[in-house]
Amino acid sequence: MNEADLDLIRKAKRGHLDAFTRLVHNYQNFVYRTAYGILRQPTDAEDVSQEVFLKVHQSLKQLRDERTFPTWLARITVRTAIDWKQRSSNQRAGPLDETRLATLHDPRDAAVHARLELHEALMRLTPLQRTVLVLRELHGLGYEEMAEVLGIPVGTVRSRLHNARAQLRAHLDEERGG
Amino acid sequence: MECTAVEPRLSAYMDGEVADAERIEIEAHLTHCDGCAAVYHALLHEAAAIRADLLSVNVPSTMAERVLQAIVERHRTVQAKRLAVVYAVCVLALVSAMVWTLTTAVGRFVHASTRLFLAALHSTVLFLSTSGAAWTIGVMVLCGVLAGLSIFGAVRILRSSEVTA
Repeated sequence: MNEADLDLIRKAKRGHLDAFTRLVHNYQNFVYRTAYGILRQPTDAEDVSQEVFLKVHQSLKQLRDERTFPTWLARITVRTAIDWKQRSSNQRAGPLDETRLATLHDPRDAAVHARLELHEALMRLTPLQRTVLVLRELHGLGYEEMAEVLGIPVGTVRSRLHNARAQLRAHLDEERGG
Repeated sequence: MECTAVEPRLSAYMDGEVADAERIEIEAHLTHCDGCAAVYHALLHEAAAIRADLLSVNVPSTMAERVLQAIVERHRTVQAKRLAVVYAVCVLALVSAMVWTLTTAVGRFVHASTRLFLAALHSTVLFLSTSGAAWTIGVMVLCGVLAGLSIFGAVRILRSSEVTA
């Protein structure tokens, strides 16, 4: 995180709405991609992102060390997304369904097909398994940082990540007919 | 190291989360075990695919606008609730004061004192009226100042302090 972001956070903590707006612009992809990675639904990810920024606006003053903002933001996003998933029992159609139909008609598009397979395999994981994958692969967090974000021991992070990857590979093999 | 011991550790090895001695053992195993090497390369490939998939997703352009609208909306709701609480407290205080003045000895004393004060005020006004309409203008100016202060206060309550900041 650079000095400009730290300055924005300090100003936003003092109630400057302009600074908070710029903070939203700077971190909206961070939040949205995290939420999408956990939920795999664009509309849900959008709603969760909005809820996350409202929570951030409400509780930013409680953040003591501005340098921990990304970890703090990741923690809020993960918890909000998982709570959201638990609240919504209905499973709506995935965002790649239309792409899938197109792919079935055009099996030569290997990249789209591979992305579809990955999406389907990720959908079959639990939200907690997807969470560790997102924190590791997207944000590149270390195991200790992930443990801090998720509020679980490092050993649990290690085993959850291993299980998630093993299950993902098994699902991908099934998708490929292996 | 056997395959059964290496394979569960490949995930942590890929993330650089194993001790040096363990890392050296795993690397030595991968050089001669095609099966574990294949699993390791699959892990690397899948990690890259997940990252690429997530990075290809972009937030809708209206997100920041939606967030700001929601913040302003919530602020208005909170301010309206606070104003309602202030009014309710005022009404409650007024009713309590009325009941108090009518039911207690101290209240009756305050009531009598107030009537005495008002009578004194009334006589003062009558006295001032002998000096013409100047006092009326003075009272009107005072009322105007009070009304202005009330309007200013109400606007301050209703406006978002953050927007003005």
